[in-house]
Amino acid sequence: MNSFVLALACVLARAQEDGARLELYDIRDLITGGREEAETSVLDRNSQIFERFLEAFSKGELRKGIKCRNGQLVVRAPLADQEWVKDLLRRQRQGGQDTIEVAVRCLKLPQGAFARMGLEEGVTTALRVPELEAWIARARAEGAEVLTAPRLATWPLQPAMISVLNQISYVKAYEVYERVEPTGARIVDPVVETLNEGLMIELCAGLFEEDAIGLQLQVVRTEVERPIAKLQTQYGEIAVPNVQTLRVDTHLKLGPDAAAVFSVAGHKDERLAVVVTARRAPPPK
Amino acid sequence: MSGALWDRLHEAWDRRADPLDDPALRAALEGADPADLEAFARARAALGAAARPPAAPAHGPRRGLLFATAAAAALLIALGIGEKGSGPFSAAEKGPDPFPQVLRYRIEYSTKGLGRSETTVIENGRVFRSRTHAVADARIEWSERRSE
Repeated sequence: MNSFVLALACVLARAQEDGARLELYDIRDLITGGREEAETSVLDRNSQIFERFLEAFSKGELRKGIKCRNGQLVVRAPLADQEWVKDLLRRQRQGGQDTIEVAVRCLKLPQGAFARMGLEEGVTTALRVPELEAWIARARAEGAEVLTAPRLATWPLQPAMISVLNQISYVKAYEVYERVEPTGARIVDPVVETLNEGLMIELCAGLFEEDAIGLQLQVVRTEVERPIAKLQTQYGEIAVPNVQTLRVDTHLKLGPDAAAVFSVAGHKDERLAVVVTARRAPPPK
Repeated sequence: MSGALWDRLHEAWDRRADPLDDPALRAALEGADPADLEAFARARAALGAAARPPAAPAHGPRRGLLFATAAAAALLIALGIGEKGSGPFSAAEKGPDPFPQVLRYRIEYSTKGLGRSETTVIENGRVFRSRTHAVADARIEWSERRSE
């Protein structure tokens, strides 16, 4: 905390030099959901996540003047940027108890269907939510498979994470001790590795102007090919799994009926797409 | 859409200029695949360039430009894209829409198995692919860093 005060003093001194305004905002209520008893580690982690979030969505000088530690946001920026920050924080608080619901659908498409569905490698943003169900139905007709479709609800600016994982342990190799004294025995020790197969989503969402929702989103999907290939060694059998990992990392703003599709060509004749939508939703009962 | 087209489209967008004013891009469009033309037209519309007043018709290469634009429009219509209320990307015809705005993105897809790994990374429109093969004790690495 002392180092933070020192940093704050340095920032204040610099602010006086270049004429920028310095403001301190208490955002503990926002990043912890008003929980007074939030642990320091949680507060600090959420502060860092919020700092990255705010940097991603801000521009110019403001981006360089943001520091957030222990639920205290320090902003060194011109007046107009300070107003933008105040407005952003006010908007989150005015959101009341409404949650932000984010849906992430992962699809696997055959190669030919990719272009026919209007997709290209990278990001496609022209798809709209009212047309989404029809689009997915058409994708299914083209041979697409919906791999997973979780929804995650969170409050504005509160980081959220969901993971649905299946742990797979296997013998990766054998460590051999040729001669262990005093008996002179040989020891063969299996090296066990663990894979996490499934889906993990991490996000931080906020409310922006024109009813837009800003998302800092990371989606990781891991799949282990079945059956798991095995090799026979002189000490025993080892497994050599083929693992496919898809990772999408993005900052984006979505309107109420907007969707974003992230797509990539797989290494076989398949294409993968991640469809992201977000909306405001009433709090869970 | 190919990386070169994508890059030029974004360069033009950064300059707040109509991408079709770029002669190199027009030349690239004339030789582009129909799929690329379609993707270009959609991306241009989504970026808001379509809302700008059309540049005054000029000499020479403009004919190519008109041909490319007409071909893209014909393709969109033939595919049922861009007609009001139909097709998955009918929003393209609505002109510039403030959202969604993708500020940055990175997609990474990798497959790893015994002695080999393949990775594709798409970062803000640029595509990188790499492949590694291990043969016996030797490791052969091949990587390609390019925009497609």
